[in-house]
Amino acid sequence: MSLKRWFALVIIAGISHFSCAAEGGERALLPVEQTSSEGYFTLKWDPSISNNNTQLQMSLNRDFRQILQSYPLPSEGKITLSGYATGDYYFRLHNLSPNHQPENIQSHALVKVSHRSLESAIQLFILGILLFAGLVVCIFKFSKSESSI
Amino acid sequence: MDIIQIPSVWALAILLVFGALWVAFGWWLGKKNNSLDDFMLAGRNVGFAFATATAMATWITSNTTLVAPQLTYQFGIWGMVGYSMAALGLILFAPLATRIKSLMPNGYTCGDFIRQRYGRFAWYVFLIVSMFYAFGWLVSLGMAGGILLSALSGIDYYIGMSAILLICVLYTLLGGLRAVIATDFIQTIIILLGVLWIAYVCLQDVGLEKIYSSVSHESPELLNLLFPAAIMFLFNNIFFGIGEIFHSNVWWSRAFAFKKDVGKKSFLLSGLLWFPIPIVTGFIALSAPALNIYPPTADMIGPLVAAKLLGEIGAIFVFVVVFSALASSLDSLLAATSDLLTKDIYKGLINKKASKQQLLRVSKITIVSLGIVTWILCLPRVTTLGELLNFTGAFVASTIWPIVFGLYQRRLNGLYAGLAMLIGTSLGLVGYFTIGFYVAALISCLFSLIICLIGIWLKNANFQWENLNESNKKQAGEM
Repeated sequence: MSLKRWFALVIIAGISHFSCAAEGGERALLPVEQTSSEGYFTLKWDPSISNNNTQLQMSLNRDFRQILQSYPLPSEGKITLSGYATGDYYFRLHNLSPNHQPENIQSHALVKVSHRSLESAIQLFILGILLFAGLVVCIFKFSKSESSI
Repeated sequence: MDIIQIPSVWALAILLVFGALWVAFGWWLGKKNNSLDDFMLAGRNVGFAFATATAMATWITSNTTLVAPQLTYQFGIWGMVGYSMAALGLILFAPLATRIKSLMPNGYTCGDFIRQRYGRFAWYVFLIVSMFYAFGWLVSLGMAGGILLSALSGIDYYIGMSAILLICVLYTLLGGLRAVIATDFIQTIIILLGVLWIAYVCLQDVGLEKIYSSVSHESPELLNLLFPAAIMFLFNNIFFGIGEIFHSNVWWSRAFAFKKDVGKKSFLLSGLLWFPIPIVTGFIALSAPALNIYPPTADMIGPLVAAKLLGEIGAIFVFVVVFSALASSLDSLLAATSDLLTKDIYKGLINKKASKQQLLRVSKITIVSLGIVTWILCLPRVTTLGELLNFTGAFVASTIWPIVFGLYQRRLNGLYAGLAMLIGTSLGLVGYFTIGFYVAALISCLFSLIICLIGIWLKNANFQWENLNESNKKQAGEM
């Protein structure tokens, strides 16, 4: 790769990084996108937003046509949710102003939940049973023959 | 979401009153300590009731009161059941305690055993494993103190963490293992009553039907028995619990301290009594959606639900219960780790001709130093309690087989025992970072077994059991 081309690539990368950061700075909910293999995850925001008029909303659609769940905001500026099944979930902070005019604080954050394979989990489970049975048998047999050792 | 229940002044007042009580009690008990055996091992004369209570109270810790609800919140039914399976560690340690006492009636620490049974290489590896675990647990307990105070009263995390460390260091310093065991007895009673009351109120006020419908609507995977990560977690937690107990000087010092023939019965009974407690503490986490509680971090779920259920007076009670649970473990760990450092590092490596008086002084300095180091490590609240604890799972599970074979089997030699711990821990950590915290202990235990079996097959160490007792008699005489 020539030196000129390399510099051009560095400048383009720098500009795109700057624009992404600027876009990210406008977002109140972080991380913007995350994946979870266990169905639990944490979302963060500026704690000053946490008040009784603001909620965290969850939807299966990017446009929030149907709100499936609303959560009150802990004052610490983060929330941990759990027990989600495999799927894509969109979250946004939603401010219900005193005159009841809904006002979205920001665009959405996306959480992709993809649980681990059941097959490999069951393989580990069986391995665990065998290992545990081996340990119990060993201790039992050793204790029985303790006096003869 | 309004989660703060106790005014900060009240929380500080409770902390001061209970702290002063434990410290005064420790000082009073400490007056009976006349020798190193008294300070380190409560005179090797602990009876059945105190033995059972201390084993149970030490195992009821931040693990049970904060991490069991956290894991239920993360892994659902399997998290709750898996956590209670840690009782198997106590139950399986029962026969080992008898064996330990009969092989080493004059022993002081688990490090003594590993050094005499396996030699220096395995001993070094074992000490590293033990120290990682001890600090992991100490830090988790200090963190839990801070989390508890901030969840229930809004007091800063750093104040809560510092206060609980200071109180436990003071009364362990003044009273030694005698104070630890006596306070454990009282703390057990407080913890049991508290946990039962919270569960009762949860069932009365929320009800099973409402809990079930809200969890199945909002967090369906928590009720799914085929939840993959939770299935992986189940046996991992069993081996983590077994590894914690089998290798730790907290439990070995109790095996040495209990009267002859008491260890087996008391460990068995304490395991059976402990078994339902994580089910109860975990269960309350399932009521969180029904109560519209969503925690900032998963490890805060237990205190938040309890405080919401019981109101302000209840929150005070919860505070006392969890504070007791933390103190009962923190003091035990401080005492046991100090014994290990004094006996194994100071006497074993630094000053082999140390007198009893010197050892007693070093033991007390070590308790204070441990408190300070733990405080420093608690300052950056780097992770959740569950993840921190399970990180140490990779270390402790690697010691299960070397301990079992070491206690009962003549063939395994020091090289393979050391390699089993080293390779087991390394591969467990690979699993921790590549798959998740819920597989580290299982992988570590599996590879440790494989190395042990290879060692037994390749070489016969033909260890003579008499060497353990003779060596200990000699050491006891020197001390």
